[in-house]
Amino acid sequence: MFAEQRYRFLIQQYKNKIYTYSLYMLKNRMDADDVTQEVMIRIWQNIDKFNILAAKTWIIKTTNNLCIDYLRRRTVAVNREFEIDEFFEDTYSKNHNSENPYLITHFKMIAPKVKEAIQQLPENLRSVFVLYEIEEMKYKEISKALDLPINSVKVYLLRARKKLQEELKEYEPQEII
Amino acid sequence: MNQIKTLLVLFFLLSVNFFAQQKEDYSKYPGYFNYKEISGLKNAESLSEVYLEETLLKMVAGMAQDKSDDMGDIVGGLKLIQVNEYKIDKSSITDMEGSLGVMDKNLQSKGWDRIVRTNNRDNLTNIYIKKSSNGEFEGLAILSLSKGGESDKPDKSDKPDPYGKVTCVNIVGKIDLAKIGNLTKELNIPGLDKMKNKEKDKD
Amino acid sequence: MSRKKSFELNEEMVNKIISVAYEDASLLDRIKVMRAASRNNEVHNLLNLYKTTANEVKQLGEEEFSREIFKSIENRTVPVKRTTDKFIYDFISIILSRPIVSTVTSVILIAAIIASLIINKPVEYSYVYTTAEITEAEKQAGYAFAVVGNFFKETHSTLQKEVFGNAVAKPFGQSIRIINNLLEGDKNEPN
Repeated sequence: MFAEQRYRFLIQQYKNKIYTYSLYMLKNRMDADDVTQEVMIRIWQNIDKFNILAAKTWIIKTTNNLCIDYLRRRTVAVNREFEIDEFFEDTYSKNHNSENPYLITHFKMIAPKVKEAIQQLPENLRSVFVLYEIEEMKYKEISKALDLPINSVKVYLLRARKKLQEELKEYEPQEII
Repeated sequence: MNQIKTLLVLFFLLSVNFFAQQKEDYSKYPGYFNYKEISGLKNAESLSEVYLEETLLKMVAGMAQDKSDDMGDIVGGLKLIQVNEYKIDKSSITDMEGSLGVMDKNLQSKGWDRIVRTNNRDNLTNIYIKKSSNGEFEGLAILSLSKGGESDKPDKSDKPDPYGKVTCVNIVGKIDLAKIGNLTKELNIPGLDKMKNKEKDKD
Repeated sequence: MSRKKSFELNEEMVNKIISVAYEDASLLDRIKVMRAASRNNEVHNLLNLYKTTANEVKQLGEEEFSREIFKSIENRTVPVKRTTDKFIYDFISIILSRPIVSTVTSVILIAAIIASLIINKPVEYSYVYTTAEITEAEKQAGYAFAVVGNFFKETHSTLQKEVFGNAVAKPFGQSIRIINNLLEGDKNEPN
């Protein structure tokens, strides 16, 4: 009953989350599009089978599994040169809360570097980091989506933050906030 | 999930508000008069108070139907009867006159018709009525200031009272003044005798 | 503010610093770290570094999804026509999406109605008065009417004696006497 309404509701709610997660995991827009399409089709195919209020976990889990499949299918030898500016839209403006023009400029310059650094993280750390920091999911949700114990989620997150910091050392701003 | 929880809680609160019945608020009736708006009464000592709400008045009407007087008919159509008497210092009488003057303007601006005004050395009394658009009485208000004349003491000493007295009466509902007039002649209740004695003494 | 120059940061402290920087530390940890930062340069600098990175990460948003993908999947799913996130659409979708939600909403609504009826009962049925109370109320009503009647009587009396008697009748009587005197005076005068 109301399958179409539920489907539309879910798509509106989660389309950006699916796409964002895929993009960070796959580092490639075309692959991210493919995964997103596939997830949407699977949502439609399973619309009557799962609880819409608990859909988030299922959707992220499906997205993650598909991303892993894509990553495994790629040959190890291929190192894709990611061009951040090409694949990432400028999404800075949505979340910024600073009036300082210096900071705004700084953030606009640093954002591609931060995204690049996130993409450099190992797969297991990257997935947790993106889900927690960018998708703003909770430990419990991440634990269910990735089939990880909550403690592992916390540990991976901590490691990801440390690794990211190392990557970004050279891009520190002059002004201490 | 949080969004859903918030929506459901909001929905519950709106439902409660929508279906909640308000307690009787007499200020919605045009014939209602809030005597507490009189500034001079803030520090006055209350001598007596009568406050009869619609529910109780209906029961009184039911009980009084069997009697020959018009009490049942009069009371049955009323929403509220309130009578309050206050004692004020003689030094406050001038201020109270001012307050009643302000209230007089206030009431008239709100559509009350002042039908009686008496002002002499001993007494200031204003009587107001409120009529609906089709001419029916909706309310009666009386504001009276006794400036401390004859003693009320049983021994009828000539010492004047060292205080003034303010009486506020408000009757809300369908009022039949003629019936009230008939009723007051027949009633034999505490307080009325005293008033009758005063009439005789004046004569 | 004096700060110690050298301070060995153990792993536990570093982890706490990171948590504080990313704003998911407990209150106790936050206090410990802020206190350490105020006393130690190294802690202070490390905290700032992580805070900067954390801020930069927080500025990143979700990537915008391309609507062209919808067209490519429409033949395998359904057209996703709506593009705006309207609150009312979300609200109705939530309510209609599952029977359980509709049931819960109905139960809440019924509970709200019952709660409001219990809390705010109709005035007529809120209290049953005893016979003594009604009798007393009848006396009080009579007293109130007596007060009203008395004021009208006093007014009537004032009108008759003071107004008609003194203010109107007396001068009126005097005027008549004056006229009579004048007229009688005229009669006595010879033509």
